[in-house]
Amino acid sequence: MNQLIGYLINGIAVGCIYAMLGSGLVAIYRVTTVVNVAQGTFAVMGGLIASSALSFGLPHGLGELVGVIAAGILGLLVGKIALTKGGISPISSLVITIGLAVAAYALEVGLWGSLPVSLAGIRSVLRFSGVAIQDQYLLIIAVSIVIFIGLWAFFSKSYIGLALTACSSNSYGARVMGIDVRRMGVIAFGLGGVLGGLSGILIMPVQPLSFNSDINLVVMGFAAAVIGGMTRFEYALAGGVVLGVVEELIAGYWQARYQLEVALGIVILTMVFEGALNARRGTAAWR
Amino acid sequence: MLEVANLVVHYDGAVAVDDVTMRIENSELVSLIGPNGAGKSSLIKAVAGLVPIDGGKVSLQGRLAYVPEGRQLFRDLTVDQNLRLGAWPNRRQSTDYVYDLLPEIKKFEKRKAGQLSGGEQQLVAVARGLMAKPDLLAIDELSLGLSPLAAAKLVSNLISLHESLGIALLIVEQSATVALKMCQRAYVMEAGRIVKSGTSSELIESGEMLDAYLGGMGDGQP
Repeated sequence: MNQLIGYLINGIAVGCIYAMLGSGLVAIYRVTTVVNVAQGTFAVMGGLIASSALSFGLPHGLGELVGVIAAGILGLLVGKIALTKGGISPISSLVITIGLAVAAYALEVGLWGSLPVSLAGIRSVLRFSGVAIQDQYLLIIAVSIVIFIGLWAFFSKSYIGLALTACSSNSYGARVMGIDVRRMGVIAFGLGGVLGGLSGILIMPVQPLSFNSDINLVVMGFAAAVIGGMTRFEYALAGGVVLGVVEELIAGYWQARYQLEVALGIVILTMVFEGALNARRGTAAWR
Repeated sequence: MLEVANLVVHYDGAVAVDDVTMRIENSELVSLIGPNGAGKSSLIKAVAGLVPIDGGKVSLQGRLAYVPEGRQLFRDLTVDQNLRLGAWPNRRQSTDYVYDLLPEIKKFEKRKAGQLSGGEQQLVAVARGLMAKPDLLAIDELSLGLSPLAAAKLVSNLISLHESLGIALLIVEQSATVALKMCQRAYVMEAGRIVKSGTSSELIESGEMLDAYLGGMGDGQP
């Protein structure tokens, strides 16, 4: 039982990371209908830059903040490139994000090498009733709660957040209002960068990241986002937590190496279920 | 206030607006009428800067707000949130401004725009346009999809707004009855061109023109 509680808490924490990555994908997809394959790159770059900032002597908190800001700036740059001014299809933008994610490997290997890099994080362990939980996992859960409340407030209360929601609800209507939909798309990429960077610095103390960790991260984030229908942050949170818990339970009671397969399996099952639901509603994409 | 000279607009290689010249004075009520596909919406979109112009010139003195065909509200946002975005990018503009002008909207300010009836949505779309404090309000297909009662109520609201604010109105309408009863002047379009213009009373008297282009006045609208 104690072991199960431990797995559940760890799973929720890891799931929160996937939910944050998934929410970055959702933020971008809602406005641009582009699936940003470089979402994992934001996490890796954010974490790596934070590790360098800390090694240069910046105090904890500030070093991590530098990593998150850098990931946000990277998000804006990727958005600027992927959403070219002339206007291209979402599929072309997706291919651009793949290209940029692969190109980032050269930079990451050149600057940080190919070995996994870790962050100090919080090393202490909380023990209660025979359960031992690393405090870093509790920090991840606490930060995620703040982030998701912040996302809700941002999208429902702030003017920019409303404009982003307007673009996702009706991009033509937004254009009529004078809202620059492309600019909003770039801002959404910036937000995706911040969420990616945050997830990177939070997961790095418990799962060191290397240049090619982005694939695993983006697949997990995508799985969380797909379970959430690619449109709602709260569903992405639920999707991420389900994914994280299932993964931890499989790793704890069976084999850790199957986590990617589990994520992909859940994505496939979700899509099959959604397809069956659409067929019943008469809204199937293929007829 | 608005001067359109020899305007040409192409859609996918086809001419949608062909050498159109028109003008609207300050605080004037003008309608643009004609059958489906006449080029009315293309003309108003070109004036609003939503489609590129292929020839001619549009000169506007003052601010224009455009209420598009189909209302184009943000269905997932509340009425109040829709209204706030009407003032984009002026985030400080309070929605109380339009609640004072159209108090009936206040009743459903917290409801999602997608949950409103067609008449309510059209009123919100007009109110959203007013948030920009325009000198000219251009409304595309004012009465489309509305019951005669809802259309009559909307027309009465617009005339009150026109009288109280002194803003000019450009109404794009398929229903000749609604347009000519509401506006002082009208332009009649067909196949991208303006084929007739004049005061509403002149056009109403021109029975031949109404029968040919607009299906007469007996279209059941208020």
